[in-house]
This record gives sequence, C-alpha cells and structure tokens, in this order.
Amino acid sequence: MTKQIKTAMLIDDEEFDQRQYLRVLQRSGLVETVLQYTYAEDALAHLETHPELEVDVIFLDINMPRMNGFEFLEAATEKLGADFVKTVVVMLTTSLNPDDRTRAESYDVVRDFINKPLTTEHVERVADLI
Amino acid sequence: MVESNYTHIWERVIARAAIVLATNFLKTICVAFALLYIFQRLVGRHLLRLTHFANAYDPKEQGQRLKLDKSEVLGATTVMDEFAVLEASINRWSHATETYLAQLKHTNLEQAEFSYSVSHDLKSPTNTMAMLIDELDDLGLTTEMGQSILDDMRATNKRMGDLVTDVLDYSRLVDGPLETELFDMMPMIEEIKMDLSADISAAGARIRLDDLPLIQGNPLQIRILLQNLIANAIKFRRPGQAAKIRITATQTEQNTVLSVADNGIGIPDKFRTRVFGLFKRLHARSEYDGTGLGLSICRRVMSNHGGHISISDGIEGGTTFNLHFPRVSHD
Repeated sequence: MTKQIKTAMLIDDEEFDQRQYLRVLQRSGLVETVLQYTYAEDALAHLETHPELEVDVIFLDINMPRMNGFEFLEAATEKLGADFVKTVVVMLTTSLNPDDRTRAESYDVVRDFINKPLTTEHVERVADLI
Repeated sequence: MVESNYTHIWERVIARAAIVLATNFLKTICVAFALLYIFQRLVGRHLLRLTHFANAYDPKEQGQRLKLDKSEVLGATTVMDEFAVLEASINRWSHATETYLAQLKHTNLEQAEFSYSVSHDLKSPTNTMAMLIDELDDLGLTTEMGQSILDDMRATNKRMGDLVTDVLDYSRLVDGPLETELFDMMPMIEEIKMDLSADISAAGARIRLDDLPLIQGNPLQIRILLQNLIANAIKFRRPGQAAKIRITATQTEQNTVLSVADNGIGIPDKFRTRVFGLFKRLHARSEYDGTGLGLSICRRVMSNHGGHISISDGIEGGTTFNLHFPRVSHD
C-alpha cells in the first residue's frame, strides 16, 4: 500500500529537531520521502528549480534566522503562486503567540498549526488532511 | 569796547550751555536708572531666577519647582500675569518629566530583576538535566539511535544553559546609574587577546591596534563589549582565510568613534539593524553556534554610555562595528 504522504518537506533551523522529526515521521510509517532544509531560502530555491516536484506537505517552523516562516510563505506565494505545495502547509512551531496563529490562518495554503513537539498523532492528523 | 562785550556775551553763552548740558545729562541719567530699575523689578529678576532654575535643573531629582516673587511692583500687575503663566507651565513640565523618568527607571529595574530571577531559576533544572543525562549515559545504551539521542539531549541542554547565562548577563546590564572612569583600552584589549588566545591561534587571527585615546566609560561593561566584538570577528571569519582585525579610533570635539573592522563573512545591508535584536541570528546553530544575544549586549552597553553602535563595510567584504561615545568635558 502506498503511504499516505508521498513527499514531505521539513523546514526548521534546529538540526536536533530535524533529526527528531525524521524519527517521528519514520515511526508513523505514513511518509515515503522526506526533504529537509535548515534555511527557508534553500527550500524556496529548491521548489523554484524543481517545478515538477509535487510536495504533499510542508512542515514549516516560524522562528528561523534570515527568512522566517511567514517570510517564506510570502515569498513562495509570490514566486510560485498560491498552490506552491500540492496540498498542505503545516506550521510546526514553539510559538505560543496567538497572533502567530491568526497570521498563519490568513494563508489559505496553511491547513494546520501544530505546537511542538511533533508526535505520531500529529502526523496521522496531517495525513488525513491530504 | 564792542569787542569786549562780545567776549563777555560769549562767556555767558558757554556758561549757560554748560549748565543746560549738565542738567540734561543728569536728567537723562536719572531717567535711565529709573527705567532700568523698573525693568529689573518687573522682568529682569524673574529672568534671572528662571535662568538659575534652568541651569541647575537635574531631571533625575524630584521636586524641583520654579518660584517667582510675585510682590507687586509700583502697582503693575499685567506683566506679572505672563510670568505667573510661565511659572505654572514650567512647574507642570518639571513634574511631568520627573514622573515619567521615575516610571521609566522603575520599569527598567523591574524588568532586569525579573530577567535575573527567571534565568537564575532556570539554571537549576538545566544543571539537574545535565546530571541525569550523564547518569543515563553511564547505564550504557546499546543502540546507535539511543546514543545519538543522548548526544542530542546533552547538546540541547547545554544550549539552554548557554541561553540562560546570556540572558542573565544581559539583564545585569540593564541596571542603575553607570559608574565611569577615564581609562586606557590598550591593556584591556591585551587581556582580551589572552582570554581568546586559543581561538585566535586556531583562526590564525591577526589583531592590529592603532593608538587608542582614553575613554570615559565603565571598564567592566566596555570589556564585555570589546570581547564580544573581537570574538565575533574571529568566529565569523571567511573559511580558509586568516582573520584580520583592525581597531582604530577617530575623535571630534563631540565624540570618540572606536571602530572594530574585520575581513570576515560580512553582514548584508538588510540585516544591519536586525542583528542587534534580542535572540536574532543570521545562521542556523549547525553552521555557527551562538545565542543571538551578543550584539544586543553590545548595543545595551553603548546605550548605557549615552552613545550608539552602527555597522559599516569592513575589510575586503567584512564588517566594521562603529562605537560612538559622546565626549565628556574632561576626556
């Protein structure tokens, strides 16, 4: 049976967190390929140079150096159109600021807002969105 | 006989003229003094009082108020009304300034106390965590994943500890009045070079100093400031290139500008304000370590000294940090 999430993208500046997400995603058994980026601008560049790539879900951190989560959403929507990801962007963040949540919801492409840490339950929830 | 009459008349005319001039002169003097006296009583002494008040004003003190002597002068009260308004306005102004300044001082101190106690209380759990992780490690985990997770735990806990320490250092700088002295920075920089000697030799860094003027400052804070900048210059060097650091100074009548220039990776224009923000970083921790507080601390030290910090282009694409110190009368 093909997995529910074919391609997932993780954008988070903290290397330790990235390792942990990978463990969680693998343990869930719901994800086939995972692309990982420490800098949002690198993720954006990859999306730009691979227009044929279909990403099912992007797990996006908010607080990152240089280009943060919101700046990434702005830039991606501007350069690639509102459907730059096949299905869904999920904000995955430490942020407890309710303004961040409101701001995230203003983007149609953002379909969920998860407070870290990421658990397998979260992954199942996201898989159902697709 | 006619001639002697003319001489006599002439003498009498001169005498008359002298008396008229003298009396006119005296009259004018009297009127002048009278006018000056009236002016002094109506206006001059109030202006004098106002000048003394303004000159002695210290916004940090409380209860400074202007008091003008409102006794009537020759029955003239109209001019006094204007001065009464002035006096009331100045006192309102003084009261407002003192109130706001007191509030500001109070808020700052409160914030510093808060940061200090929060950081202090957070230090304890991180220490406990470090011990527990070591205990777990000693139990001997057999899986590779387990070991990897343990290493990540240790590193993350250390990161938290570093953050807490830096927040603690920052909060200590938001303090009361600054004690300054006139001192020489050269021996201080030599001490910093000794402290950083391991990093300096690892980076092959060369630090060049111009003759630096004495500055009026708080040595402890300036030490922290300079150490941060020099450590940064070494840390953010270009890979494969020896770090070059140059410290120079220029002086004008109003200020002393100290510049720390490097040939490192540089800071793009658009980030040159952002980098001074709290916890703001330009790189992921995997690329360059750090808590994002170093430059915030530098900014705070400059602000404490009544100056400011700015960024300009450095050596061969690097960065220069310019420290603007206002000059005090005796430096």
